[in-house]
Amino acid sequence: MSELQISSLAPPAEDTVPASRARRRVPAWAVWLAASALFVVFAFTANLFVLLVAGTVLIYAMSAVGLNLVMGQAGLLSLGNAALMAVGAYLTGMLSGVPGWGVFPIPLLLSAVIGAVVGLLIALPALRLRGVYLALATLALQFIVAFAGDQYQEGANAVSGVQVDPIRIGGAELELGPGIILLLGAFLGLTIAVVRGLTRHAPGRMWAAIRESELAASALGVNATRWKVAAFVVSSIIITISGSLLASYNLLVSSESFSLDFAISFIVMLIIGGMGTISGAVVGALIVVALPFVLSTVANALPQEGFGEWLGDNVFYINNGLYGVLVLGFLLYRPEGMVPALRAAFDRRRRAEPATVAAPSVPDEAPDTGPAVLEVRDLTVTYHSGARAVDGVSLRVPEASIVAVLGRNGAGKTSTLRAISGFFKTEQVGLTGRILLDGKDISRTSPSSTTALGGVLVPERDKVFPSLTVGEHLALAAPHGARDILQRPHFARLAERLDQPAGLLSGGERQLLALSVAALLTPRVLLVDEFSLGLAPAMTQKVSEVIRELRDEQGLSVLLVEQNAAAALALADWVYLMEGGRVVGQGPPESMADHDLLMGVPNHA
Amino acid sequence: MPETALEVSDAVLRFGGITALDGVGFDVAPGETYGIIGPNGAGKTALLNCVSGVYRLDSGSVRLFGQRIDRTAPNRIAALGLSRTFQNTEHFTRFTVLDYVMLGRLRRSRASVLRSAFAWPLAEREERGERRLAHEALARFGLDHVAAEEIADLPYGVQKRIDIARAVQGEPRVLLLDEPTSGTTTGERKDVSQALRAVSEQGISTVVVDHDVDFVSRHCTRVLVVSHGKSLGCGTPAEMLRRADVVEAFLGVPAA
Repeated sequence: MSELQISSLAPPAEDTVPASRARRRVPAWAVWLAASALFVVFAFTANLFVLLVAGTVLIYAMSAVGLNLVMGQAGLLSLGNAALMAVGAYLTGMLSGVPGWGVFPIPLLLSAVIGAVVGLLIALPALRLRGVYLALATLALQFIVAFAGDQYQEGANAVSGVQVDPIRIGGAELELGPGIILLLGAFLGLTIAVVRGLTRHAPGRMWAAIRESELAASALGVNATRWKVAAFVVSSIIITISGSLLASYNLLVSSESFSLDFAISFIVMLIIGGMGTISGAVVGALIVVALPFVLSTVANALPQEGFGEWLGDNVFYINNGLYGVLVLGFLLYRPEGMVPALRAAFDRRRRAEPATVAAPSVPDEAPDTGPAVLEVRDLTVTYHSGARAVDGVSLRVPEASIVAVLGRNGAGKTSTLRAISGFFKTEQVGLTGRILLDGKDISRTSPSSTTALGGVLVPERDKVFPSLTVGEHLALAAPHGARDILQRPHFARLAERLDQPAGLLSGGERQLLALSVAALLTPRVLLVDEFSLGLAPAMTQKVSEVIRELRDEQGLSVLLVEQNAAAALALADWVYLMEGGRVVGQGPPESMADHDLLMGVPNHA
Repeated sequence: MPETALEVSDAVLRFGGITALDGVGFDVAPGETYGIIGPNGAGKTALLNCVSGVYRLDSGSVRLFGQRIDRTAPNRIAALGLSRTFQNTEHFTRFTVLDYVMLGRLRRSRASVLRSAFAWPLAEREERGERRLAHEALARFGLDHVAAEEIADLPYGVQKRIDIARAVQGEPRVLLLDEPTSGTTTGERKDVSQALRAVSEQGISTVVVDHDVDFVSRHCTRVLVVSHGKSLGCGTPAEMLRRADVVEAFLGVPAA
């Protein structure tokens, strides 16, 4: 065995810490000024068709930002969006033409007042209900408003919709053109400023706390009732005003336009754009509103035969299908939505540049006792948040030997193990470096293929299926001859419990069962995560013996990840020490026992 | 000024047919650091949950500086000056450390929808003040360098200290610490110890529930031992650990 090698124990270099989330900030006023200037230029240069679409985008974006306050910030699922917009729209329709009342901005102000009242009403069920149940309760509002709307239209003898006057300012009617677009832009800007003020200050923290855990939040002192009501009231005011603007913009109110589909389309906007971010809501509104117009423009541009004709005839269906594909795609691959995903990608690129320069790899002079079954070279694991859990780790597991990785909580041990067993492939965690199992690179291999190739994980939790019996576990691993393994003395306890569900086993018995299942999968290397966790000392010793026996009798290699230094040192042939995502030392167990870092590792055994 | 900061008498708590607490009582003097120990499932955390209002007692009373709080909502209790930490730090893992610590100041700062929505300069100035205070609190616990991190990215022991820093931010009169050392390494435990000493130097009455008997003995003037929802009594750590029934409750076997 070579001498103990300890590389520097200095704290990790600055760049590896995902610190300074602080972006290089452009002052907020400059962003607002630039955005306003661009918007004014747009309003005066775009053609009428583009302005028509833009007006709808602005109104829907306002509504989506309002909905986002309840759903994204406070985490309360609401389907009441269309109904709230309908309330504002109908109110504006009723006031339209009434002398003294129909004049801008009175319909908007009254909509705000009614919106606040309806918001209070929706908040009542929200105090007791959560999730899908709350969504269903808000659905009731949808049906009530739709019914009332129909009745009103019948009474007014306007079955196809109620006419609404355009907004007048200073005697001038704001018909479609730069004027109305600027007004709508101003409303969206005001909405964003208000919501931003709320979410970036104390109220935003309250809502986030309620979203994470209402009970824990109230134990912190958050008045959950008050803040949930506040979220619904503010959000409802915004949404109702947007409904009023929509009526004045379309010059028509009709119950058909505030359908359940319409309500759902706002949730689609938030999913695509990014729940919980203001810009996500705006981007989502832009995509959802603009998509059909883009599609029909494309269809019109194509020659009206063959594909072009087919597209033109089916734009409506293709458009809805595309919404579905977008929603599914985002939910599956980027559940955080477009804006946060882009931000994260941008942050990652910025961070990756300096980090790759620094991160020195640890000299790879691991034990030269025979060929390595498993070899990890320069492994880096970067989580979505930008945190680098593993930073240039290299290690080898030789044939028929037990190698332990020790380190404290958060040192990167389990992340290393999960990377080897292939779990990060499906979780979109950034991974670089090479992982060789019998010389074959498995760094891009799925967990099931990794197991088939001989890299078998014994996880820290969820290691058995509670409702399957012991016998069923063994049969699952190896249909024939599975019970031979129970001949071994250490597994005798399991043999007595063949017909019992694994959920009834003690922690130690579960560990033994998990190990016997793993041994049946004809592994080349066992990847064992924290086997001693929650085990009494006597049981830890017994499991250690089983692992040793598997090495001696089946010639298995074992990679252990452990916090229990004593247990691991007693069992391992070679020890790696990790800290801050790096290997900071390695050696035979005798030489590691007195290491400074191990003093900080729990040692209860 | 009443004699006791916190007084629990004859606390009874039942879940269905199970009696989690069966007539437990204790009292904490102003400025005292008080320990509660007992084996797994003895009812220690249930007791803290009753004090902080998360559970409602079936009978018995809880008094905070003489005022009954056993029928008071958790957020009202917090407003009266009782802070707590959590056994599991899983609740707010997506918060940044700074935001989380700022949540601790709820009692001292008034958040207002109108001000945040329309009076940005005012809200912003207040926010800057709050942020500065949170940074100072983190610095006191030696944690300012992680202020911008997400809690989930940090080691368990650091999370525990962040939770203590958050709880102290509200300048509580009584602080409840739920297993501050569980899952921490020996090195991290020293840091938690230091944090706790800093807290008691501020004169805050503190109740510590923990499995680590050494840790509790070192910090607490008195300990309450609970087992199977019943109190085995209260005394100085040395006194209690000499008692045969206490040793038996911990080891599960009659003491030799």
